[in-house]
Amino acid sequence: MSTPAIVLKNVWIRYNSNVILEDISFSVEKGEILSIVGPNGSGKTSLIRAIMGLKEIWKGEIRVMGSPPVNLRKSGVIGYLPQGNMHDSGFPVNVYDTVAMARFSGKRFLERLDRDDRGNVRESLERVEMWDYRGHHFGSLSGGQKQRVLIARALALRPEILILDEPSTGLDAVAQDSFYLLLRKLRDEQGLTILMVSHDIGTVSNIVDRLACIKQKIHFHGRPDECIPSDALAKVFGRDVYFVKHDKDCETCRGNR
Amino acid sequence: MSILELAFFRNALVMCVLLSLLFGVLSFFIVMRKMSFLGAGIAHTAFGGVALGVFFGIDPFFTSLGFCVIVAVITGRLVRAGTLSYDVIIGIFFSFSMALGAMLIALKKDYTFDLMGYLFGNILGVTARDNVIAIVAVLVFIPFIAVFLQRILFMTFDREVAEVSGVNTGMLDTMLLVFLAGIIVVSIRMVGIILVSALVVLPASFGSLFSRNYRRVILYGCIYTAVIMTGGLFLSYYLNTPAGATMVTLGTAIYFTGVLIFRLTRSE
Repeated sequence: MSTPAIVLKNVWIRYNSNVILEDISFSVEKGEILSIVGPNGSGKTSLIRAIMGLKEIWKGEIRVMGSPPVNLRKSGVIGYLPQGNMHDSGFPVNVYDTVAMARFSGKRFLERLDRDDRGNVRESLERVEMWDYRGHHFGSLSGGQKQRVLIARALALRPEILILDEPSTGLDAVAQDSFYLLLRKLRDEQGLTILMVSHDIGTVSNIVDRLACIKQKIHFHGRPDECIPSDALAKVFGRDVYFVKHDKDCETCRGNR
Repeated sequence: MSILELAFFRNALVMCVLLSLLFGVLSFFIVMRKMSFLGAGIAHTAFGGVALGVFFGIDPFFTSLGFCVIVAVITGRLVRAGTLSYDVIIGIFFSFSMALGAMLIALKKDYTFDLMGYLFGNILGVTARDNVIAIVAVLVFIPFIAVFLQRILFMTFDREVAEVSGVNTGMLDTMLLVFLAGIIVVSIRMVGIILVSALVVLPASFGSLFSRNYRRVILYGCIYTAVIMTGGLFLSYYLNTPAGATMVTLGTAIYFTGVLIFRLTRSE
């Protein structure tokens, strides 16, 4: 059996003296899509920052492709898509330059982009159907288009793992649908392992293989079609929360479309 | 007699051209990272450094350079560690350095100190040695930017992703802060402590009005700085006004003219 892409064993994270995550253990298999779900302030972003080596953990152990996360810098193993609308829309870069930035990170000091790099940038943009926009100013794109370009930038590293932080924030229903389809396509065609943070359990449950419901502790970890215990949902999201799975293949819904 | 025959004016003119290149490029990274206030803070910190030199009888250039670099590096480290934010640290050092400077100069009673020259610049104070220092700054800073441009751009646009992707953001951040401190100290004799922060902010702000391509924003910023510095220098000579103040007033007027043109052309 192959080593999981990501393994967390009894991970504790604190901010100053406050414990924000307690005893988190789970793994993400290679080629799997897993979503960390929880309300705002539940520690989701801190957890993925720890997985990427951007935040120190207090106790426990994290292994990414068998190594501590900080050892993976420069390897391009992880492609990261931060939370949307964090970028300055006035920043003077076009789509091509935005994706090309990623190729420079692995270069030696005086190395320029070579043919292989330019081909890689083109391939990454074509994969997300944004090649035709290569000359456009990044800040002038719609939310969905920006997300696609940032995915292309992450893909330009040729990563094995894609980590996304609330990727659907600011996207309308159509753009969300198209974005999640793209993620599945990337997983199916490239075998990418995808770890995604979301607060929208209903939407992500359609595309992920497994869910991890987190609020300080891990309250549920399993397949989305398993029955999530109502007390787990109540602990994560508060009381009176009902989990509605938006099933696109639902037989009875089809007639209403 | 032509003003170009005057040695001090030629020195000042050469300094203007060199500073145009330095501030035109530096401004882009400082403005895009929303660190403009840091420029003002470091400039005011230089006052404490200058006063240390005066007090201990050391060349004020070296004491202000050392003092500003140390403050810049400490600031960067504290911010990266998440201990304090830029505005808090700068707010503290800003007033501390000015207070320290005022105290040290008051204690050194027998010293004739050109306070106005340091605060608002004095072209008579620009020497051939200052130009050599500025040339060294250009020869170190411009190749550094040329080599690391894409990585700095990546870090400026998206710091965490750059870090995850293997960019050494800590090293680049420290280097940029050291250059910010160094370039500010180099320019103080010409422009003055109070006014130098305008040269950190205006070039990239002006360039951004006319292009959405970073290369052009940097280029326009350099041209703009050259125009306001050399134009301000000549104007100051003929109007008999302080050079730094004339440059900043001219620069602000050109910037707002640019804003007006940008708005008019956009509304069309």
